[in-house]
Amino acid sequence: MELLYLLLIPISLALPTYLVGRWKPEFAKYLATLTILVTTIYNFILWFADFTNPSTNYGSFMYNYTKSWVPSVGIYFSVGVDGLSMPLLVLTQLVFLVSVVSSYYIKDQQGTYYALLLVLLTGVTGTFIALDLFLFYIFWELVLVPMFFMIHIWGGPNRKYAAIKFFIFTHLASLVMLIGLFYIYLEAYRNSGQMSFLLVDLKVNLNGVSFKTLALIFWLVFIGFVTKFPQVPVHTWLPDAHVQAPSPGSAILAGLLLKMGGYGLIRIPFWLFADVVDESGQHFFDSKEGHTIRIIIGFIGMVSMVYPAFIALQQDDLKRMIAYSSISHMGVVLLGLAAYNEWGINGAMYMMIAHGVISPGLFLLSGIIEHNTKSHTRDMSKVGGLAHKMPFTAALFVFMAFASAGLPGLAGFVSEFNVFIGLFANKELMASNDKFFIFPFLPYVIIPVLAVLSIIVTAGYYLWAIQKVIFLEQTDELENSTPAKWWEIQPVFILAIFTVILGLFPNTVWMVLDSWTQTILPH
Amino acid sequence: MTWLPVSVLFLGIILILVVDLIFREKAKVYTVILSVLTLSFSSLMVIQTKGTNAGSMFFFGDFYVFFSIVGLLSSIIVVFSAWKDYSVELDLGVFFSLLLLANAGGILIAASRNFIPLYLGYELVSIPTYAMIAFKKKNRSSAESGLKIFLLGALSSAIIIYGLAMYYGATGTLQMGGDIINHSKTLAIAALVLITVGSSFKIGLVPFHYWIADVYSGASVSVVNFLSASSKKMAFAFVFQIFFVGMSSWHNSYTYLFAILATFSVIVGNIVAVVQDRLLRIIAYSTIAQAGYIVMGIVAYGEGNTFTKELAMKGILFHITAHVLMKGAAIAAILVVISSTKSDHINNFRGLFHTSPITASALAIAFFSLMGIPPAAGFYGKFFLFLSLVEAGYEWLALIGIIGSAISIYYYGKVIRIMVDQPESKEKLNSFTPINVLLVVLTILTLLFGIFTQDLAIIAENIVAQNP
Repeated sequence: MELLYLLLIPISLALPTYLVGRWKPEFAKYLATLTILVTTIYNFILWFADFTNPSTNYGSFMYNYTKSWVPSVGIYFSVGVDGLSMPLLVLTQLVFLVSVVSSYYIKDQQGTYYALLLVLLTGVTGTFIALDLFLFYIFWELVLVPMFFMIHIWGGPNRKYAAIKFFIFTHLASLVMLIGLFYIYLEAYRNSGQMSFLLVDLKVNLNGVSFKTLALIFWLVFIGFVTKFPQVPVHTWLPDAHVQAPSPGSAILAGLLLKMGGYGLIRIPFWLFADVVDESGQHFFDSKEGHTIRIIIGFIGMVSMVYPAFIALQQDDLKRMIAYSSISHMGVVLLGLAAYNEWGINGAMYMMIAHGVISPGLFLLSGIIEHNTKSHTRDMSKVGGLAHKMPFTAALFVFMAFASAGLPGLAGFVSEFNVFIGLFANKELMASNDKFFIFPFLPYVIIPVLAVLSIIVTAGYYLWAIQKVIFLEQTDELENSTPAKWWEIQPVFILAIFTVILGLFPNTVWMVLDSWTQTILPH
Repeated sequence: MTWLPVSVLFLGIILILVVDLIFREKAKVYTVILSVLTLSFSSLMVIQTKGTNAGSMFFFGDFYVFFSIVGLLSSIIVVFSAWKDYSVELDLGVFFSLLLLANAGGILIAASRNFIPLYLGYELVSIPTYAMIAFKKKNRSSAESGLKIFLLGALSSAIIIYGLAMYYGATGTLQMGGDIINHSKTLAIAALVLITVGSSFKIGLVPFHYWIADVYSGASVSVVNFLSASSKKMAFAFVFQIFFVGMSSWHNSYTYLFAILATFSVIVGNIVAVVQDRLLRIIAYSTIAQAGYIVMGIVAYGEGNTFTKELAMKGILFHITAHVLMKGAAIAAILVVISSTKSDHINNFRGLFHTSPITASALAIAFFSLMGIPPAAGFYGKFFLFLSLVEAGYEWLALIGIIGSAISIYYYGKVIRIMVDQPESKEKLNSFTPINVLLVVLTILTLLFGIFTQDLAIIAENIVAQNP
């Protein structure tokens, strides 16, 4: 029941918010803020209750609520959280809270905007807590609609193109994923005779399905998920969508919508196939098919980490640079999954949380810069000397940029460090004498080595951006700018606090993730 | 007792005509109320007569209940649209009596187990439809559409009749579900091809789709609503009866044929819709694509075992129900705009979200539903249709469906994008309360479709169990 409130409160208040907004636009934003504040506090209470309870088992689903929906094909309305989704759920509420507050600059059609924000919150929350494939897909697709409108109505100059591109790309990918979900359901049905879309049932019923079929399913759902948390070469929608979206929209897009892809990838293939063994007792991801999958996703992850980093280096638009850095960081997630050991998976999940607090901060900061320049520009060549006019904003920007570049002591470092340990500890990558079948003349070890080296590029573009935007001579773009207002800067400040906490006390989240990871790794 | 639903309709027809004669100018509201009452009462009677026994020519099972009620209730949408559409001219009583007559034909189709009443039922749907399309006698485009659909309809009916004659030759019976007798394989193939071609005309599959766009953009909007929401469903009932019941033992031969037709319909319908700039033409081509999706259900149904058949039938029923809701709402919303601006050009929809939020929201949600975005109704049908295709081993057809779905986002999205833009003038549309109520009801049903899925799923399972 508890989780049901998190779903029902925002969606049921969406229409009232719209109507209030038609009557008095100001009230819509307060109503939406209040709603999100309530769900955030409620979610933190739930999280805290589990956290302080020593008997909590993060490997099983808590707050489970299951009700039969279409029993004749085995569809259930089922929600629940475990060690994987709980941190993401808390992150969802947090990012929405900071996004709604930093949306206060929006003056056009406020009622519609905040109503869409509440629908979006329901969609994202639902994606993380749905325990039924059918329900999962509903929430997964529901997210597209409000995001489409947010980009289309409140976005930048090229918003129309970006909105429809975002919609078509992600929808097409979702449909390919849907075919994968069909296979999961049908294979589980043929295998066990039980019709069920329920994840816990599928996890058991898939045991005995041939590894070839599982590999096919993996690639089908992989296409869907990987488009959402974009990896090269299906990343092209993201820079457009990010750049054109209003900055709170970008914050949600980067902070949460990308995480939906990562979450889906971990939940559906990695968690769902965790118990599948063949006759010799071998686990799927340790088998021959599993190795091939891991090498390929490792390669994709490496390319997605290195290539966008170089693209980011040549960007002039601040937001576009941050967007490419997002793709680069999501490559780390895929690398962690390719490592498929404790360090790797924990690091991948930790990266989703860390990136979920850092990148919204950077996007909101770029939004602040855009709103305070004379011609509303974010071009690094035009903006300069921010530290003279907006010292606090400048300080936060430096801080968040370092966090994103992976400075030790801040959130990003923890995950990157562990992912790389995981990669180097991976026997297949390090000890194998096989040649890399994509580049037959290179050993597999090229993947982790190139990935590690790309961190230098990451540090490079952030330092360059800091130098140009913050410290050069003040340009006349910033003539009229004043220190940022409280609702502009406080949200970023909150995210900065979480960045420090996650960096200095990683065990708060790490413990949860680790006890969850133990349940999916073969021993 | 058995024919109570049809008797109610005939009684309603007579009453409406009499009321129309007596009250003349003031009769409009009365005829509307009478039509709605007749349709609802007839639906009740349909439920009452479920399971009655009426000899070997008829079977009153779940198929009969579902398709009769879909026809009857979707006609209520048509009544409301016509009330608005013809509010200034013409005698509504005649129009409504034609509508009720077509419904009587729909009930006959849904109940038949023999080709003679089935065909009679279909003609009883078709002939009032021709009259309704040509109803604005003095309007050039209306008359042209009427002539077009009449000529093509007569032609396709003739083809079907010829096919049925072949069917009789091949099986020696006009009872549905006949087995092919020895040495008549060639006749059977001829029957199959002719009936498939004729049916493809009726449901508008590519390459037999040319009439749809012209008729949809030429006829008056409430008739389009009837064509799309009601008479299309009766045509589908006709096709399902022929192939699921009549040719149930021939499935090896027709699935491939329909797979090809579905491919062409989904691809051509969606691609041609992209370049249209009139809403009714977009609707027309999207109808062709949607018909392609439903035909995918026929493919999966013909190919599979009971489990696949059930999935396919669920997909078909979900999609048909959803189609009534979303197409009904979309066309009613377009009607509101046309009656104010006199044209369905896409530019007339600019800024509709600002000038008329209810109409625009209804149209947008209907379009999201047509795209197949959950939780709107259209998603459930597509989900089960694609699922049954994968189960039946037609993955490639599911992929075609997916590609079509992705293309459709572009043209539906184009309309939605234009509606959220800033309007050129702040002028409000003339609103008409009954239509607004209708739009709100249809939109809510579209969004809450998930609630009814279990009931429809059970009906689908019953239909599969009752089919031979």
